[in-house]
Amino acid sequence: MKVSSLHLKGFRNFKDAHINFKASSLVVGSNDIGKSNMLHALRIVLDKSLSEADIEPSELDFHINANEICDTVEITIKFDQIIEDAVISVLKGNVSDDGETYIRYSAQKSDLSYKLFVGHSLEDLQEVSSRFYLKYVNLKYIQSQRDLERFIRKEKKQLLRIAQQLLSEEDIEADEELFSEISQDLSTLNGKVSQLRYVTSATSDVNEELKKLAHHYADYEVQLDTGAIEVNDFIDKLQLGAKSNGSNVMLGGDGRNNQILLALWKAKSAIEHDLDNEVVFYVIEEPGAHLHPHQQRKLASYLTKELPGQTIISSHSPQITVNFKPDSIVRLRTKNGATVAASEGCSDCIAEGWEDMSYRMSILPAEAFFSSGIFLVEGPSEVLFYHELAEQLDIDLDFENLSILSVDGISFKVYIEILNALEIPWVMRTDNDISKIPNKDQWQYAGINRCLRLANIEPFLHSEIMVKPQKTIESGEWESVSDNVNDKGIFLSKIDLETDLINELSEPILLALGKTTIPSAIDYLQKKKALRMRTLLKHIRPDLNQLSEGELAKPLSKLVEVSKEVSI
Amino acid sequence: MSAFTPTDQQKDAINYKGNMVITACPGSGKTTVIKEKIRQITPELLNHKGIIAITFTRKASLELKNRCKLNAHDTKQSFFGTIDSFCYKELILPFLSRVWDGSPNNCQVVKRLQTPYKKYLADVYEKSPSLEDLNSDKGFKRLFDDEILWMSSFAAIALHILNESSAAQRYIKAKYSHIFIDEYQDTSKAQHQLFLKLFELGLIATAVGDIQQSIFEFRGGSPELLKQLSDNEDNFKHFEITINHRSHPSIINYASRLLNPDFQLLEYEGDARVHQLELDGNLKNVGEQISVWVTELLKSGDIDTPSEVAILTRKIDSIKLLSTGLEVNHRVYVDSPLDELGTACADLYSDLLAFSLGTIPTAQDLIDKQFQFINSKKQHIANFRTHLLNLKNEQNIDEFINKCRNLALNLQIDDTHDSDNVLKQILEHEEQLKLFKPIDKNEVQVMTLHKCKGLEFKVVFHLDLEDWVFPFKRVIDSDWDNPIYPNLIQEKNLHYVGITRAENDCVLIQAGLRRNSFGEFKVSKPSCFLTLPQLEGLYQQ
Repeated sequence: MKVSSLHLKGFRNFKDAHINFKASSLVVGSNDIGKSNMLHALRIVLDKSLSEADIEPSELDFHINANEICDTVEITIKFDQIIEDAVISVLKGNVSDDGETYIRYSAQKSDLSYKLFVGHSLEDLQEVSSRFYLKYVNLKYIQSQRDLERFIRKEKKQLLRIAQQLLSEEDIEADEELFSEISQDLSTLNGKVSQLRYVTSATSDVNEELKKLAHHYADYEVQLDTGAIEVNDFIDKLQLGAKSNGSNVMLGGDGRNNQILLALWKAKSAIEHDLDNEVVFYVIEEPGAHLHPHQQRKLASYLTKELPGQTIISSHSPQITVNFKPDSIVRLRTKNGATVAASEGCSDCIAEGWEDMSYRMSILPAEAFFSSGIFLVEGPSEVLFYHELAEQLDIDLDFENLSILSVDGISFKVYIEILNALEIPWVMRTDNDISKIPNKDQWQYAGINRCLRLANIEPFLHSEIMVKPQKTIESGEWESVSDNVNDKGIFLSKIDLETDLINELSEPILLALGKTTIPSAIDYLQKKKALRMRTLLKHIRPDLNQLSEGELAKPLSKLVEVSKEVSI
Repeated sequence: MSAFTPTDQQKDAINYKGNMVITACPGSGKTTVIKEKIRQITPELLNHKGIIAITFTRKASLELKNRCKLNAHDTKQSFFGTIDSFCYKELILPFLSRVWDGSPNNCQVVKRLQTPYKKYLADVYEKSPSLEDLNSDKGFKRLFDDEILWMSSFAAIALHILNESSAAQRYIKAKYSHIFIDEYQDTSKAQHQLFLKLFELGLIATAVGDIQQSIFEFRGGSPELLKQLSDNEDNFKHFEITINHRSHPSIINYASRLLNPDFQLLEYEGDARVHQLELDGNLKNVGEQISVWVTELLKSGDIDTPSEVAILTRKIDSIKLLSTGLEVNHRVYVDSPLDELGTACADLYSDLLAFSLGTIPTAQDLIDKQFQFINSKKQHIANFRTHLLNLKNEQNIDEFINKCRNLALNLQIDDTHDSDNVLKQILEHEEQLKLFKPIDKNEVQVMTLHKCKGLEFKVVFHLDLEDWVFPFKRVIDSDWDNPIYPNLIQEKNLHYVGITRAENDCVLIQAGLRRNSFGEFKVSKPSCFLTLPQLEGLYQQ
C-alpha cells in the first residue's frame, strides 16, 4: 500500500494543492512554506499516536488569505497498490478492483467538527465513525527536535519488552536461570557492601543512643542497607552505548543520538508489525538536523533504503537531496498567497537518456532545489565570469537566492525539464555553434537550433554551404533568433563567451593580456579556458561594470526579473 | 462442556485439516465437532483473519458463536451467521456497487416480494434463484434499481459479485481462511455454488449435513448437493459421524430401519422405547389422553418439567383440534398471523410484541436483529432505542399500536396498515398473544414436524400417523385405485427427524378418526410408515 497522492483544500497554508508521492519522497521548500503542515495532514488521517481529540480542527487550521477565509478543510489521501492482506481485510469494500482506496478528512469551521470518509473511488466515499483502518495501517512520525533522550529511554524499554516476548521457550529458560544466578550474585554483593567498615560504623553511634533511650529497644538496631538492588534495577539502567575497539563508549551529541534513534525505531517497527500483511508509512521531519553534511547524506540513504515502507522525508538541508531523483522530490512553493507543490510533486520530469549521462543520484547540485532562480551555462569559464560580473553589477546572488550552474556541455534540455517540473525559474546562455554534419556537405546551426527548440520554435534547416557564426550576425539571423528567445530567458552568444567578451571590452582586455590584436587575445583565452579566465577577471574586475548595458549582461538581469515574478 | 471427550469418529473429523464433508446423524454432536474444529483453527490464524461459519438459523449461529467463544477464546475476525447475512454484510453491501450501478446502502431488504415487485421477475423462483436465473432475468437488476433487495436472491447476487469483482475476491481471501456450512442438506443451488466458489478461491471448505434430515426441499433445499459433495472425493474427504448420543438405542434402531431396512440393530437391555398406539376418537380425545400421561410422567419422575415433552404433528390444522383436548399447560409453536403476513413491518411487530412481553430480553437483542440488514448511523439507532424502551410499559392497546407504527416509520416502513390491523387483533386475543410470550418450563411444547429440527425432548408424542394424512397421499385424475405419495422421500425424512428428537421415549399415535380434506371425520387406517416390515418387533404396541 502506498500513499499515491494528497489533496489539501483550505488547510493551513494550502488553499487547493495536489501532491503526488513516490516510494520514497523528499519534501523541500523554504522555511514556513508548510512542510510540517503537509506532513501533519497525513498524520491527521494516519497517525495512531494522534488521539481523536488531537485531530479535531482548530480555528487556525482553516486557510486564510487576503481575499478569503476557507470554512472547510478537506484532506483527501489516495492510496494505491493495496495488496497487504490485513489492510484488504480491514478496508473491506473500500478497495477498488485496481487496489486503490481514498480516505478523506473534512472539517467545518462553523462548529469545529470533523468527519471521516472512506471509499474505493472519490464518487463513492462513505462516512465512517472512526479511523478504524489504523488497526493495520500505521504511520510512524518522527521529528528530530524532540526530546531525544527521553524518547530513547522509552523506546529502549519497548525494545526490551518486545524482544522478551519473542524469545523461544529454550531461551526463556536460559534467561531465567541466568536471572536467578544474577540475583544470588547481587545478594552476595549486597552483603559485602554492608560489611564495608564505614557503612557499619556509620550506624553504630545511632544504635548506642537507641539503647540508652529504653531497655526494650535492646534488640532493635538500625543499619544502612543496600536495600532492594535487584536485577531489574540494573536492566532499567542499561544505557545505549557503542563499542569502539572493544571498550565501551558512552554516546553523546544530539546528532549521534538522532542516528541511534532512527536505528532503534526501525528495529522496533520491524518487530512490532507483520510487514507482510500490515503497512507502515514513515514520515520524518528534518532527519539530519544535527549531523554534519557527510552524515546527513548517509542518513538519508539509510532512511530511504532500509525502512520497510514508504518514506516521506521533509528537509531544508541541501545535503539530503543528493539521495533523491528529481522525480521523487516535492518542492513546495508559494503561488497567489497559498502553498502549492511544484508540478503537483514527484513529477515525471526525467528526460529519456538521463540515465546515460548521470553519474550521481541527482544531476542538480543540491542547492538548486532551494534556489529562486538558476542561470544555466555551458562550462566553468562562464560560471566564473558571471559570478564576477554579477558582483560588479551589484547583483547579490546569495541574497537573491540565485545560482549559476554549469551543465558541463550542451545538455540544457535535461536540466530545463527538471527545473520546469520543480517550477524553478531559469535563464540560459549557449554558444552560437555551427558544425559540419559528418560525411555530408551540410552544416547545421547547432547553437541557434538549440535555442529555438527550447523555445518551441521551428529550427533552421541545414546549410548546403559552409557558414561561420559571424555570418549569422551579419545576415541578421542572430538578431532575429535572439528577439524570439530572449523573452523566454534563452540567450545566444554572438560567437562564444571569450569572443563576445573581448569584443565588448577589447581595450582593457588587450591591455591585461598584453596582446595587440583581438584574434590573438581570443586564441589565448580559448586555451586553458577556466584558468586563463580566472586570471583575466582579476585584472579587468573594475572594468566589468562597463558591460552593464551590453549583450553579455542581459541574462543576469533577466534572471533577476524571472525570479521576482515567481516569488510573488 | 470442558469434559467433552470425542469419539474416534469425531476425533478424525476434528483433526482433519483439509476440505471435507461431514455427514452426521441426529444427536451425533455435529455442532460440537464444528465448534472444536473452529477452536482448533483460530489460534493459528493471524489477527486480521477469521473463519466463516454459516448456520441455518440466527439462533443456531448465536449458539455456535457463544460456544466457540467460551472461556474468552479469541475467534479473531470470524463471521458467525446465516448465509443471508453473510452474503449481505460481506459481499452485497460492500461490493454490489462494483457490478451493478447504484448503491446497496439505500436498498430495502425484503423477505417476500410484494406487488408490484413480484411482477418484475419472470418466475416466482420458489426454490431461490440461481446464478443462471440472476443472469438471464433482468428483473433482479430492476428490483435493485427500485432499491429493493430480495433475500432469496442473496446467494446468487453474492456469487455474481465474487465472479465479477476482483476486489471482492481479494477481500474474502485476505480475511477468511475457512468456510463451514451447517445443515448442508437444506442448501439451495446458489448457496452450493457460492460454497464451491469460496473453495475455489482457496478457503478450506467444510460442509456438514445429513441427507436423511432433508425436509426443506419444497422451499429450495436440495439434498442432492450434499451428496454431490461427498461423492467428489478428489476434493472433499468424506467423514461420517454415525453415533447418536441423544436417543435411546431402541429409538435409534427404529428410526434407522425406517430409512435403511438393512440397518444393523444396536443392542440394549430392557424394553423398546418406541410405542405404536391407536387411540380412540379424534385428535381432541388424543389430547385428553396425552394430558393424563404427562401428569403421570411428572408424578413418576420420568420428566422434571412439562417442557421436556413435545407433541409433534404433520399438519398445522391438527394442532388446533389437539389443543382443545389438552388439559395440561402447553405452548403452541405456529406461525402467528403476523408471520403469515410476512412483510418487514409484520416482522418488526412480531419482535416488538416479543420484546414487550420479555421474550426478547433486551432492546439490544431486538436492535441486533432488526438492524441486521439495515445500514444505519449510531444516532438513528439511539433514537430507535429510546422509542423502544418507551414501548415496554404501554398498557393501552391503541397507544401501543401507535408506538409500534412510529418505530416502523423510524425504520422507513411507511405502509403499516395491514400489520396494524393484525396487531390489534392479536392484542385483543389472549391465546394469540401467548405465541409471543417467553417459554415456560411448565408448558408442554406443541409444534409441527418442520419446526422441531435441531431440538430435543425427553418424550415425544408423534401424531398424525394415519393413512392419507402422513405421508401425504392423493388421488390423481380420480384414479382412486392408485393413489400416489407425491413427496415420499422428504416425508420419510420428516418422520425420521420427528422420531430422533426423542431421548427416552417416542410415542407414535394413530387417532381412530381422521379429518379429510372436507373437514369430515373418517375412521382411519394406520399410516404406511407404521406397517413397514423392517420395523417388525422394534416397538411396543
